[in-house]
Amino acid sequence: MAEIVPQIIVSGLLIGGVYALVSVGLSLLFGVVDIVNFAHGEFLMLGMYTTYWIWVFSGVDPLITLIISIPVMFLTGALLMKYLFKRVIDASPLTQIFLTVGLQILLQNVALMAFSANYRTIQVVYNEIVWNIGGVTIQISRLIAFFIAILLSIILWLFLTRTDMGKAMKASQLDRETAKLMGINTDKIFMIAAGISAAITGAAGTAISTFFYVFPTVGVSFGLMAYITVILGGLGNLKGAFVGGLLIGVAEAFGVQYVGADSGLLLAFIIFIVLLTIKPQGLFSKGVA
Amino acid sequence: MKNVKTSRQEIKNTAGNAMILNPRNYLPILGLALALLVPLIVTNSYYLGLINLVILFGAAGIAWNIVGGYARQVSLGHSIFFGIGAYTTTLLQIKFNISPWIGMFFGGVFAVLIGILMGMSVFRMKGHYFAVFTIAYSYVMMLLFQKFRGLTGGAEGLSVPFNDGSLAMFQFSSKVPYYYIFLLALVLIILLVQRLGKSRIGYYWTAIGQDEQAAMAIGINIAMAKHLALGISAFLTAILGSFYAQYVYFIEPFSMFSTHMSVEIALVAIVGGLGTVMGPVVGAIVVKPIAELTNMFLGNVLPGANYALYGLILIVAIIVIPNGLIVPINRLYQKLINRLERSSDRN
Repeated sequence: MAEIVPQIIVSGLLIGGVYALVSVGLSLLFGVVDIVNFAHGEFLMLGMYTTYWIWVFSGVDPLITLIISIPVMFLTGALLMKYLFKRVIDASPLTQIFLTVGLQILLQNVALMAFSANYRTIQVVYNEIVWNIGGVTIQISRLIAFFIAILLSIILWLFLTRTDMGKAMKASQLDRETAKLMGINTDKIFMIAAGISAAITGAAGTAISTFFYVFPTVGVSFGLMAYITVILGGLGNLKGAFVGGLLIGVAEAFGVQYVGADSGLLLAFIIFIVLLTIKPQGLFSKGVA
Repeated sequence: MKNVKTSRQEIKNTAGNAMILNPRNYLPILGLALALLVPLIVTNSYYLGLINLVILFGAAGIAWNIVGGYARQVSLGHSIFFGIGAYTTTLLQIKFNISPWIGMFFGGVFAVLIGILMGMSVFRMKGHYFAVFTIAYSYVMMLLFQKFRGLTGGAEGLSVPFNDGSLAMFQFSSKVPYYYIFLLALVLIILLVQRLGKSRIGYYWTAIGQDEQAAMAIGINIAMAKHLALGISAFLTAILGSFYAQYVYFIEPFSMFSTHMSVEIALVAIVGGLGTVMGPVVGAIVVKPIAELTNMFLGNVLPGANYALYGLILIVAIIVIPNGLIVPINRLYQKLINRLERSSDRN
């Protein structure tokens, strides 16, 4: 039994990297704009469909579609902020929840109407290639997805810490009113934050599109995972969200191995519910939300 | 003070007569009397079926409103209670031939127990957390019911055993008996929530909904009040879930425990009016026919059109009519009462 543990951890970490990126996207929007977007998983779904249709019509490698899907998703996020989310920034949680839940249901079902409920797949040559490193098998498409996720996370981290725009974003995360007083254009910051949130989540969708079915409700479990991860990591805490994403990937892999192929998420969710019941302020919070 | 006394005196003097002549009293009775006539007017089985769903979801919306509207704990997991009620009665029928009339109370109790479990982990948290957790719980429920197929029938779902129509087994070939049973349930729930809303605990819920910190400061036991709200809401929702199973004859975990189902229940309360007794009824009257007719006309061509519409209605409603349709309707109702009172005064 013990010899498969490294395999489980590696598989879990590989998909966990993608979960981490999705969670960071949600956490960024929550941290900077103070809004919980229940339609977050749908960004991933939209990213997947964007990649799928470009692949169908042009046949280019799904990874190349990032050149188009990242700007498209960025624009989607920014426009949603400008025309929808902005209306409810100062509203009650209830209003925010139902606005974004409405958006979630709308997006899912517009996708269902437009693309049907069919499970679609993208075929690439490296789909079936598997590496064997010291008894641990690694599917190359999952490894690529992991690296895309890590790469985008690093770029985001550099952006937030090294650029003026990123610093302004962090400033509005810490104290929106003071940031405004310092001459930071918070409206613009919010649009960019929503754009980045949508773009990296859409990119996560592209990353997994080579080994994951594309269908209208694909985002639901990812979105749910991201909310739980973000709460677990401490709200608005990007590092916490990242680590939480990796952990939930590993928890899922253990669930698949020891509980059943259909029960990976079940175990992960139950673990997280129990953890949060014991420690409601999140695992990594140090008093700063 | 003097005015109050004399008017009280007047009421006493004309005791029974005045009570029934007061439009505040006779209008609801008139409404109920009209409602009783509906199956005589609507003979088309499809439309009566639609009206039945309006009543059922109106009632479920009122149940949701207890915790979501009064106490403002946004539940996106009421499909759990609805599903538990539906599954409990159906399973008790299949395995032990127990009548749904008895089974539904077991379902209600199970729902309350799950509600308590949910409450223990989430009621210390505020705002978004509760919503996230209720979704997570319903997802876990869906996966559990799919996994333990030996007990639950798995993803293929369960059919309610056919009993050739009998009141004892809550099964009828016509939609008319369902109509009267659903209507009775709706009236009872309305009366219950009306009472609760005007009771001490109802004011606690409203206080928590408006400002949790302040409610705590004046000494309200927040956790207890929230648990009570969720418990009552869960129990009622489970009963209605049993009704639903007896009405549609088939249940499966994916739709019974979906967030879509939870949103359908919550949506009627939001469109109608949060934290009001009659709001969800108004919401159901508006929302359900739109969605069902969309499904009827577009369901085959554009599957998902009805749900897309739900999403759109939700977005528009929350921005345009945050207080619900009940506000303008209440105003009209008040005007009608005033006019009737004045005309009866003149006589």
